[in-house]
Amino acid sequence: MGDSLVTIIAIFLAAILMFVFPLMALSERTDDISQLAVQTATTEFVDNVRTTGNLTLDGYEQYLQTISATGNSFEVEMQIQQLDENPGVKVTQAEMTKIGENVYYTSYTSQIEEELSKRGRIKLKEGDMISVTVNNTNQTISQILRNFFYQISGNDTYQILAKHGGIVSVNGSGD
Amino acid sequence: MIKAQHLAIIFIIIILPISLVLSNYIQSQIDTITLQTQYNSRLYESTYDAVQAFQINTVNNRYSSISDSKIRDIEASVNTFYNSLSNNINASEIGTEALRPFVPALVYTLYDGYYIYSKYNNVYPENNGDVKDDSEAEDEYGLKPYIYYSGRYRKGNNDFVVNYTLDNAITIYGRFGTEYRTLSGYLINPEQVENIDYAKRTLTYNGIEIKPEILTEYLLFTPRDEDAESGNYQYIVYDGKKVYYDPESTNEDEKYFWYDNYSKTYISIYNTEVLEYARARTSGDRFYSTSAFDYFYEAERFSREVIDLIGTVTQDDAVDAEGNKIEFAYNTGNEPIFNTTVNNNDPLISGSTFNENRMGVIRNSIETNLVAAIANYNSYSGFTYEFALPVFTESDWGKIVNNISVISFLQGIPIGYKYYNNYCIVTNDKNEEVVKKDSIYIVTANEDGTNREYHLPGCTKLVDSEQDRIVEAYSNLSFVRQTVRISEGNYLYFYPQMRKDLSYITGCYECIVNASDTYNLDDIINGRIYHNEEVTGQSGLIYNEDQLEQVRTAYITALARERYDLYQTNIDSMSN
Repeated sequence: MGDSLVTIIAIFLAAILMFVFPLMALSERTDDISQLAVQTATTEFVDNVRTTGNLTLDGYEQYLQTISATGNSFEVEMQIQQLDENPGVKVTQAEMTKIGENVYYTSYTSQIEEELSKRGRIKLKEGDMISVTVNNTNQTISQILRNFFYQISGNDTYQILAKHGGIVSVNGSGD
Repeated sequence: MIKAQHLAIIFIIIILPISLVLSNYIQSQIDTITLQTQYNSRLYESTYDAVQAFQINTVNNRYSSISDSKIRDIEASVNTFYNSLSNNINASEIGTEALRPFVPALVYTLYDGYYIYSKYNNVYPENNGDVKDDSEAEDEYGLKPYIYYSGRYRKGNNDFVVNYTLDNAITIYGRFGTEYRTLSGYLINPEQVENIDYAKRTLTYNGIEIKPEILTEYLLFTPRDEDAESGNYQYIVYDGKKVYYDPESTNEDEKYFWYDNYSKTYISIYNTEVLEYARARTSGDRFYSTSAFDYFYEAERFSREVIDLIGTVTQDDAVDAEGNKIEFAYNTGNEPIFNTTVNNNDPLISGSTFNENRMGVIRNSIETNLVAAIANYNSYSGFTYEFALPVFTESDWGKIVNNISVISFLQGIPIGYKYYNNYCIVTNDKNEEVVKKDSIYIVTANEDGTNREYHLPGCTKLVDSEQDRIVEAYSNLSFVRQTVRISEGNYLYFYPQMRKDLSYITGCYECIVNASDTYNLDDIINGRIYHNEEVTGQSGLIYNEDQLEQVRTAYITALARERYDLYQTNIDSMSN
C-alpha cells in the first residue's frame, strides 16, 4: 500500500521532472529569443524612421512581419508627436527648449495606420518624436506551462515586451 | 520503484548541466545583442550631435564658407562627436581618448567634396623645416586633405576632369585638343532662358519672368541703452555676405552696413567694390537684388559653352587616374551627360542623366577613398582587429550623394562573443553649404501684410488655396531663430523673417508643422502636377503652368537667387 503510493508519487514527480521541467526551461529560452528579436526589430524600425524622417507602409509591414515571425501575435502601439514651434515664435524672449513654449501634437496607432494606408507614407520633420511599444497578445508555451502551476491574472500578462523611441533627426525627403 | 528514482536522478544529472549551459549561452548572446543595440543608438546620438555642432557653428559663423574657418568648425564637430560618444557609452571616466582607436574614420561630406578624419602619418614639420620621412613622422589624428567629387573623362583629344557638387554647379578643367581650359558655373538647359534684357536685368526661364526683387530681413541690435533697437532692412548679398541698406541714415557715406556682432558696421568709403555694387542696385529707397537674373544669365552662357565643348561626352568616356574604364553604380550608358537640351536631362530634375551621373561619380569617389582610408587605418590602430569599410545600403548612398552628411564608423569594440562593427549616417539640410531644392520656403501673407506664414514649395495648401498671396521666398536658414547675446544668461531671440510692428512668422500647419503631404518638387519645376493614381484613384493633370505660375515664380526665383548668393570658391573666383 505504502509502496504503491510512493510509486505513484515518484512516477508523478518523474513525469514533471522529465517532461515539464525541460519543456518549461526550453520554452522560456524561446521567449527570451523572441523578446530579443522583437526588441531588435523595434529598435531598427524606429531608428530607421528617425534617420530618414519617413515612415512608410512598406517599412511598417516588414516590421510587423519580422515580429510575427517569432510565432506570436502582437499588439503594436505607435505614437508620433509632431513639434509645433509656432507658439514659441510669438514671444521673443522664449526659451525654445523649455517645456511649455513648444507644443506637440500627438497621433496614435489607429490614426497612423489610417494615414499610412491612405498615402503609403508619413513624412516627419526634425524635432518630431516617435515611439513604439509592442507586447504579445497570445499565450506563449511558457506562459501556458507556468499557468499550470501558478496563475497570473489580469490584462497585462504579456511575456514579450519591447519599446523604443526618440527624436527624428532629419526632415523627411520629398521623393 | 528504485529504478524510477534512479532514472530521475540520472535524468537530472544529465539535463541540469545542459539546461544551465544552454541558458547561460543564450543569455550571453542576448547580452551581446542588447549591447550592440545600445551601441547603435549611441553611435547614432553622437553622430547627430556632431551634425548639430556643425550646423550651429556654420550657421552662426558668418565666415564659415572660408576654408580655414570651415576646418575649425569641422574639428569642433569632431570633438563633439568623441565627447558625446564617451558620455553616451559611460566611458567619461576613462576619457574621450579611450574610444578614439575604435573609430577608424569620420567623413564629412560637404558641397563640392568631403573631408575624412582619421589617423595619418604627419610628415609635415611643426616648425618650418624639412619634410620628415616616414620613420620620423608621428601618427596623429586629423583631417586629411579635402577631396573633390571629381570624375575624369577622355574622349578623342580631350582629357579633362569635372568637379561635381551636390547641385547643378560644376567645374571643368583639362586639355581640350591642345588648349588647357578651366570653366566653372551652373549647368541648366540654356534653351529655356529667353528674352534677356541685360539693362533691365530681366529674362524668362521656362516661361517664368525673372526680374530684380527686394529682399527684406528683420534685424535686432544689441541695445546701447535699455531698449533693443530693431528694424526691417532691405539687403542684397555680395561675396556671400549680406549688405543691408539703411534708409534712415542721414550721412551719405553711411548708407550700407554689414550686420556684425549684432550691430551695424557701416561699409567704409574705401570699400569701393562693395559700395559700387550696392549703389548700382539702389533706386530711390529701394534696394534690388539681381542675383536670380545673374544666376540664369551666367548659367545660360556657361551651359552653352559646356554643350559646345563636351556635349557628346557620355559615361562610357569616364576613366580613372590610370586611364581604365570605371563601372558606376548608376549606369547612364551612352546618353550624353552634359547636353542639357535633350529630353530627360534638365539638371534641376532629380532623374536626369546629369544627376544620375553626378551621383555615380560622388559615390565612386567616396567609396574608393574611404576603402583606402579605413584599410590604411589598420597600420595605425595597434589592434589585431581588421578594420574594413562596411557595405552601405542603396538608401544610405541616396542620402550621402544628395546631402551634407556625417558618416561615422565604430569598429572593433569587443562585445561578448563578437566585435562591434557598425556605421551611422546623419544628414543635415540647414546649413550654409548648399541650397537644396527643398530648402526654399515660400512666404504668404494676408492683405495687410500681417499673418505671415511660410510653406514648403510643394505644400498642398499653398498650391490649392488662393486666399493668401505669395509675397516672398527665402532659403530655410532665414527662418531659423537667431540669438543676440546681451550678457551671460541674457539673450534675445529674433527671426529674420519677422516684420517689425507687423507680424510674427509661423510655419504652415499643412506642410511645416505636419510634414505629411506635399506635391513633388520636380512637378512644380516642370509646371505640371499630375494625380497620383495609387493614392487618389484618379489620373490626369491637376494643375498646369498657368495655375502654378505664382508658386513657380516665387520658388524658381528664390532657388536661383539663394544658390547664386552662396559663397562658392570655384564659381565666384571664375566669374570675377
